[in-house]
Amino acid sequence: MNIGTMGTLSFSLDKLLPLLPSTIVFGLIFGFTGGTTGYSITLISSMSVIIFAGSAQFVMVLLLIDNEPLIPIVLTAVLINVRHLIYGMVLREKLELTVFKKLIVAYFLVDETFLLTDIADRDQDKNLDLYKIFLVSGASLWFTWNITTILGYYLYLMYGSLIQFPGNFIIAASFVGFLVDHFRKYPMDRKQILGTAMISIFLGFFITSSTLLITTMLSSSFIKLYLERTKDV
Amino acid sequence: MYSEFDVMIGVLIVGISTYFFRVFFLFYVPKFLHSSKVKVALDAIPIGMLVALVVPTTLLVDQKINVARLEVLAILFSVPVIYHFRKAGVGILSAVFIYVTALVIL
Repeated sequence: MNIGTMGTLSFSLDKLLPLLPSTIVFGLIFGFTGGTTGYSITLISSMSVIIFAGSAQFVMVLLLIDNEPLIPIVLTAVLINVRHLIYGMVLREKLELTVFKKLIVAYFLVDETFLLTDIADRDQDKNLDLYKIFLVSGASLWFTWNITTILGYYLYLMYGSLIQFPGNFIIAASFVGFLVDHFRKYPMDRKQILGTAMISIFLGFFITSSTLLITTMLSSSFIKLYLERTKDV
Repeated sequence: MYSEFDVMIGVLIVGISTYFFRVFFLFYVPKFLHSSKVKVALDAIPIGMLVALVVPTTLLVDQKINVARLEVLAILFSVPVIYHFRKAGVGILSAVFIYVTALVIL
């Protein structure tokens, strides 16, 4: 059943709403933390426009506060975003796109829009226009992210350092809801989640940040393949 | 502190490279990556991403397990809240609320 444009819009907003609180909080905290660097609002907000990737932006700002050398800061942020290569590969299978649409999709391809498109793709009975869902969610997130970055910066200017959140806490808090909700809704994925979690903790003793992120994602793939294989036997 | 110009160059490099990563496989995927096993593997990526962003970031600090922190408490206590409300967005709200409350009390 094709649920039409209004249905697609309604679906997009319904799935997007749980993401907005985390985007708002994350954006405010990013802007707030950006204010502590001493750099101008133009520079901090330009990160949100040009990069549009929360974890990389956060890492850049935290390393700037620590006065780390600039080249390693840039390299670390670049490496953190290498995972977006995989997002493009996954989305290519789900979305039928013209060249122009691919160029648009690429700009809005962040963790949240990738996740939303994956959720929408699982609702196959609704025959959803995934591209429209992606665009609505991407544009909404972009707008929210940029506005809250600016608001967070001004909050810092007005109220100073009232409270500081550890960077990793905000990242984990932003996504724990999706992980737990997925665990609850899809019992067939629970073994995969638990196996991946154990491997990520083990790997975390040896590697960090973007390398850990990428190897955990790849480990998840291997676990899934292994579980599929043992299911067939 | 670096000049704003230098940092802006860094931001542009990160931004352009990020866009390149996002766009690359949207345009071209080598033939050997088209198999059904690759599709299964790709399907597992979102879960891997979620686990990577939540589990080690919560439990590990400087490559050691360190759970004696308010952040861990906040994340762990938000899990039953998320389960109860059946809404993913409740996660960050409950975690931040618990963290701030614990900070104020302690």
